[in-house]
Amino acid sequence: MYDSHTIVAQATPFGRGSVSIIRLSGEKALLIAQSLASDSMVLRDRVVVLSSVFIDSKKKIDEALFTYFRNPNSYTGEDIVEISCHGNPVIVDSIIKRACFLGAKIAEPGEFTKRAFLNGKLDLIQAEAVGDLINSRSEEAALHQNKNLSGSVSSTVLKIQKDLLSILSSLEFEFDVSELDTHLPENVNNYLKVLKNSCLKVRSILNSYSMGLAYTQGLRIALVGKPNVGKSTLMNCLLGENRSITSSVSGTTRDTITSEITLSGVPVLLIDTAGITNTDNPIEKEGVLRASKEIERADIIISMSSPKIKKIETKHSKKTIHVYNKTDSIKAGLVKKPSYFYISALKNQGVDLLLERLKLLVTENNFSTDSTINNLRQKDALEKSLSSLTSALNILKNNKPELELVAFEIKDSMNFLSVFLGKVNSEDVLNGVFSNFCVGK
Amino acid sequence: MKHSTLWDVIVVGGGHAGVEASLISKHLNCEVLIVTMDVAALGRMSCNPAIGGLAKGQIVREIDVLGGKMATFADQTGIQFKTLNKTKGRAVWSPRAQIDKRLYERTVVREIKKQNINLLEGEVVSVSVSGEKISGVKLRSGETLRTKSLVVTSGTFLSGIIHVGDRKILAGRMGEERAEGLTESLVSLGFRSGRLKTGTPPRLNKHSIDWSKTQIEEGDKYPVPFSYFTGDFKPKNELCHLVNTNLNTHEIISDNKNKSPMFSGDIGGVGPRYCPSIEDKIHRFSQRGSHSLFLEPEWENSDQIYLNGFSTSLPEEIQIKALREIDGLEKVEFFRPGYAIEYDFFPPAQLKNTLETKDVSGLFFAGQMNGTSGYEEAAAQGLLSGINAASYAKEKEPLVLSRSSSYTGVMIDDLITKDTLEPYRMFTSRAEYRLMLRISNTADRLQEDSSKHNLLPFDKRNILLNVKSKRTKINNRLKTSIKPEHISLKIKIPQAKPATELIKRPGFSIKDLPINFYEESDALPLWLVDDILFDVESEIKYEGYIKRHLKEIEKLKKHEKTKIPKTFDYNSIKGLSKEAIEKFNLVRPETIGQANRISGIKPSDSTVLIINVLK
Repeated sequence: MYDSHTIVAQATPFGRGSVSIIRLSGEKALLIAQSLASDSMVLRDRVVVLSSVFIDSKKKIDEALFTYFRNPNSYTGEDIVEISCHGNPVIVDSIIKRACFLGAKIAEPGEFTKRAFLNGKLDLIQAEAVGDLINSRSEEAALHQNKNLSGSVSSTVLKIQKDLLSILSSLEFEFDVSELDTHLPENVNNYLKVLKNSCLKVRSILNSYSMGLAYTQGLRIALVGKPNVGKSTLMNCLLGENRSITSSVSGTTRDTITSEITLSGVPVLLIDTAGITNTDNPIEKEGVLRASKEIERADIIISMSSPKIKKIETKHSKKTIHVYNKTDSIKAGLVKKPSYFYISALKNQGVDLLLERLKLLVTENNFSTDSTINNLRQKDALEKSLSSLTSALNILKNNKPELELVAFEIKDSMNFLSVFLGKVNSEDVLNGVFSNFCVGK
Repeated sequence: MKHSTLWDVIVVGGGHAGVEASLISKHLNCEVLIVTMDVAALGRMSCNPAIGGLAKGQIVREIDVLGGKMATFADQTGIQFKTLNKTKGRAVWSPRAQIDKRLYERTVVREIKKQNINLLEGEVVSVSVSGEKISGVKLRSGETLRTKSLVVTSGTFLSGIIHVGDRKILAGRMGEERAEGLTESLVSLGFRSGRLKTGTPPRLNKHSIDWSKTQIEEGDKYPVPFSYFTGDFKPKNELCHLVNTNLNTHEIISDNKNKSPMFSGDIGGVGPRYCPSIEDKIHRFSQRGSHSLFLEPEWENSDQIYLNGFSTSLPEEIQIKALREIDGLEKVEFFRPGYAIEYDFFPPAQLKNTLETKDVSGLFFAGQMNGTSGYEEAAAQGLLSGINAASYAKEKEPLVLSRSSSYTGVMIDDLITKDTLEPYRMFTSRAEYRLMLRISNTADRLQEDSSKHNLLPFDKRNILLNVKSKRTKINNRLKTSIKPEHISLKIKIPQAKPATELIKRPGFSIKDLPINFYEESDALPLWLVDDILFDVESEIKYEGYIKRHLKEIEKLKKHEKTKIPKTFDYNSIKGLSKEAIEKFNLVRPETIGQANRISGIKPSDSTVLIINVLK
């Protein structure tokens, strides 16, 4: 009930660490592993072998340990090779890409487990437990994939889908209702216009992918608090440079400002949100709206308060650190709460402790573990969608276009856009089952 | 007629479903009896004087290959033939014919008599069951009949109510009595029933129309018949006419739409759906200033004109007032106003994919009582139910059509898995493998099923074999390589190329090749050879797309084969959503594939189901 492709994925959490494990499973696992390693490497069942890893015929990228598990005595019941390389995302990425070039496919989330189940390896998996898991998690999984997209990208994609749907309906109307073809020429012109436009949009998102704009990797930490509580000042402190404009006029940061830093080797995105307050100023209102969205998407929230400015009560279940700022403006007599950090961002006091705490959190919890994989998969979906759109456009440009083929391509293209947005394809039923497991499991 | 006979098949109703059901089961050597309320109304076309059309034309030809008669009847009684959608793509080409209704009825009756099918005029008021099997029916007269299998095709007759404005008439069709009691009998056996509505436009007096103000619509110059077995084809080509509505018409209808019982307003629908009433059309496409109305003769030289496109249940005086605003209809008179009819239907999720009911074996439902609309949809169901009723009576394998084989397969699968909220009409967009379901490859798609179940007499089966071998011959001849000097001026090629590669070029036709495909030995009419040539060309041009379809079909095959046990207990499965449990219990899908297609089933639910079924 699944295709017999050999699959590959990182089995250890994303990010820097001492070792990362890449897992290959399927008929070609052995062959691919062999091609990745030096020619002299000999793999035997359950024997660990050291070899260089090559990402093209000459270029060596790492030294790694290879372990082969012969079928059926492996986790999935298929041939498995595990490659333990150095825990550097660049190395891991390169090896996975090379494996794909050699014929592997990036595993769907939970695909290893799915194969194990289908090969009768996981008779312990109680169907009930799986069922519960699916119901509670399937929506969350889609959300997760979407979270890492920047808001403007997903809204552009939704708009493209809407446009395509309108042409598709018009085409279906032509096939199924309209018995005449009097409106056809003007319709075709309209289709051409919309398709060209959609192609442009998808292409520009793809470009932003290669520049790393569409996608934010790593953890998101959002600074949240009422206006003038000192979010921007703290952010500057954490960044060690003047990134945000700071002033004592409340509401200076109307937009969200983001900056990337690395904490304990994990890429982290710091987000300075606009202060949340009830306001009638339309520009600020927009900022406030964005701030609430950022809370939704964040992994960790720094909730700020200061003398005279209370923290914001928001409803979310995110990991939250409470920070009390502007301790320098208090003369004496501050009653400290145990779980709070007391700092003066302006004078850079107490910030180091906060940083330590953040570093700990970041390494303790692997939040967006499979973001690289998602990134690749989403890019792939966009490319496929674009290719269908281009075909549709080319057919339409013919003298007597076969409109049913145009409809076919548009449907295809819309499907891929849905995949991009993280929707589960109802046809690939079983693929949805184990998608709540991490990719490498 | 001996009434103590144990019939193989009793067919209740003599409409398009009943006619096909009885003829095919007779062909399959069954003892068949039709029970109908009016033996004079066999094969009556109660609505439009046409057969085929968008997505329906394909069904008619499928019926033809599967041993049904509608295609032949239509070819014999058509007065104008036209293939629609010619500019929109080769897979959606749909033949349509204007039909002489009277001639059609006469032709049907002649065939029923010729095949010696027993007819009984009467009204079935209840069915009898022994154990979980059908055993017979009871008539209003008190008479009882015994049968091995029963096909019910009650059309719009069960508790029918006609609406014209706020006027209500109890009838099955205008001027014909309705049927009572059968619904209650079926409900007492545990079946669910519901009400549906459908409509028909007014019939105009030919002499009240100013024909000089209408647009003329001609049939095709080179008409193609529905049936593979029609031979050389030179049908009549009567003119049709059309007029256009205008804003005045629209205003009158909008002002009065609340007087129409058929007006559904915003309820039940986004966009264009099943042939909507004129009041719906004006409401839904309010930006359109005009709709085309076709003036169709109901039979040759008929005084009665069917106003296609103006289905309505507005009060008669509003209908007249609105129409008289139209150029050419200023003085129009009616023979009969448009009306809506409301009737009992049985939500078809109660059926298996053989059209047999899930709870009573030997009992089959077909046609409009399953919530469909259209002669073609009814006939195809009638045919399938007839085949399977005969198989049941003779203890043979039933015939089940897949979604990738035919529109008929798509329809039956849709019926048993989707909620019917409005009459189901076939659309090409309902077929996910549309590019493979072409009118021109119908024989190719269904020949195997047809011969496996013995659905055609010897001579017809031979014609289909000829079609097949002609196809092979053509494909063989395409293996040749074409040299530059042999190709016409249309394209230039630098060196010799395979013929198939040339056909793939846009705008290049198989007929542009320097190959003569016509042979004396073909033993096939010219139109049919052209039809095959065209389809071979389509298959080559669409090769890439067809491969994509095939890949998808292959992927889903396992789901279609994975059967769910009849007694499967959905309530005890942890992890299924409440909604899914409710739906699965209601539909009781036969396979995982069906379960997946039930409307509103989420992927997570179907996954939980798969795991538990495979466990």
